[in-house]
Amino acid sequence: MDPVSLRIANRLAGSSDGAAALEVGGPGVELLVDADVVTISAAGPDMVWRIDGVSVAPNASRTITRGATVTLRPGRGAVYLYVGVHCGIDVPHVFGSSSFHVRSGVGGLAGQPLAVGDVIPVKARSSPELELDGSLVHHADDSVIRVIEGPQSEHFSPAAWETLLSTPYRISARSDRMGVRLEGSTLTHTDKGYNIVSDGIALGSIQVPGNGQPIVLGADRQTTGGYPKIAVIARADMFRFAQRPPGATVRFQSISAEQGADALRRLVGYLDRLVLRSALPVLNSERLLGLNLIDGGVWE
Amino acid sequence: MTEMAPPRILPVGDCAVSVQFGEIVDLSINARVLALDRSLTAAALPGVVEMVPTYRSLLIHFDPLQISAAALETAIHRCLVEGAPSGTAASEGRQWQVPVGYGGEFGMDLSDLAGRHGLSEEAIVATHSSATYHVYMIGFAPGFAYLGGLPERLKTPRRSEPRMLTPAGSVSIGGAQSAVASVPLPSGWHMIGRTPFASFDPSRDPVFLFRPGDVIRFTAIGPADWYSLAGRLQRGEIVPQPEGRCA
Repeated sequence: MDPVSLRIANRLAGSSDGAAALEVGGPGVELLVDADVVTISAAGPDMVWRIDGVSVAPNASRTITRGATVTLRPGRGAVYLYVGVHCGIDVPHVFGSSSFHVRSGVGGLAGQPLAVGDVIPVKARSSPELELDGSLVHHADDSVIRVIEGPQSEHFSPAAWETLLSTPYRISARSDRMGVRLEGSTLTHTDKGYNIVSDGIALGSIQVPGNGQPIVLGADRQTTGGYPKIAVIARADMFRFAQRPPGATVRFQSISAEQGADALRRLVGYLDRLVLRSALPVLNSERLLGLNLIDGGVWE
Repeated sequence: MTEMAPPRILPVGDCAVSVQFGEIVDLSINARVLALDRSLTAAALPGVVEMVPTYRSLLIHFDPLQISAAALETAIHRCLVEGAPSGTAASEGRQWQVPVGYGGEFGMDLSDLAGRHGLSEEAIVATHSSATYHVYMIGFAPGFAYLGGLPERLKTPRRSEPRMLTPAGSVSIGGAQSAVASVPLPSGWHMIGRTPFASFDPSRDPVFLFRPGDVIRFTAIGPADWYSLAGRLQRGEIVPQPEGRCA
């Protein structure tokens, strides 16, 4: 849902941008290392992680060894964090993707979301420990989300468009990777109604069913649908929107598709210029003994 | 044949455009959508990520950092003028008899729908299962088949609030459309029945049972037959097969 944090997690782990990683939501996860050595990373707004009970800098990677316990929790003001593994998680590509699609059971490990006791296949290899230099781009004013007028704007009155842009909407707890439901002022359809003959749905489309409460369609969205779409969230703001937790509010601001493309260009520029610095290793005898330095397995 | 109106090209955010040929369920509109899909596929434009052909529009996902919306629009106009490569999806259409358990545990909305239309449940079932449906598109979820051909008097607006979860195999009505669902899904449509046929099976080749251009008729079956058929399908004793190619 947040491809920016995912990409940063993969960069920190020394993996390619498309490498398979973990998306962690809810209260978080505890991982036990069952490999000789592995470099893992974690990225996400305000995330918290500990290795064997010791707090680690957010948006960083660490090389750890067998028996280590890693606990990770998404930030309180966020939804997701991402765990990267050097060389990626070893899952087969299905239909050209290593992602797991919950509703169809396609991809991932054994066609199910990860559960307690599952084993995550990784390559036991390490890469340099890194940290993000500076803070995540997410910390711009997260409550303002830019939108582009949608393909069915004719199904809404000018007053509904004005309402969408001038009143706050709250993120509902009834949200998932498919749709994020919003609660706020009712958006009224014109007499063209709330049924359209189904057409395609882009990421970030804001559809409005008959009850007038908008739903933003996310990464696991349906490919097509039949509710009118009043607006579409600018791609450059979609990752920030996805990190707004239930109960938080958003305000929408109208831009053109050209302005959206420019914003996306700037975001990609930020990612291309990301500065990762070496983590300053805290060397003590326990850590040195814990690392298998003899056969060179730590620094390739 | 009357002159057809040129399609509208609508931005769908900053990474997609919709080429809209109409707003209704119509075989000739759908044929124009599928023709543009074929010609743009053949053009293989850099920056075009994916295309989603629907009843009446083609959604084109693109990367605006590789191709501008203006350049894409120019390419779309060129394809529209030049026309599609030969071969039509409809010429490969197959005919299916799809068994459906209607109402009760299989179709939770059948009695409500009967009330809305002032018809008996039996009349709704008889009307729905006597029509011939065209598969216009596969969408929404993997293998979900959107059908045209719903009898006029069964048209029903979608629920004002979608349900969070409806069962796989549901046969439903939404607006002027009917559908066969493939996986458990949220839906705002009215669930009138359920088929034991799996329209999506990632381990099967092909993974989708139906294709755009196929023709479907529904056969009403009772609960005992439904469970017996479901069991035989699950054990692999029988495999859903089309009856033959359309003329």
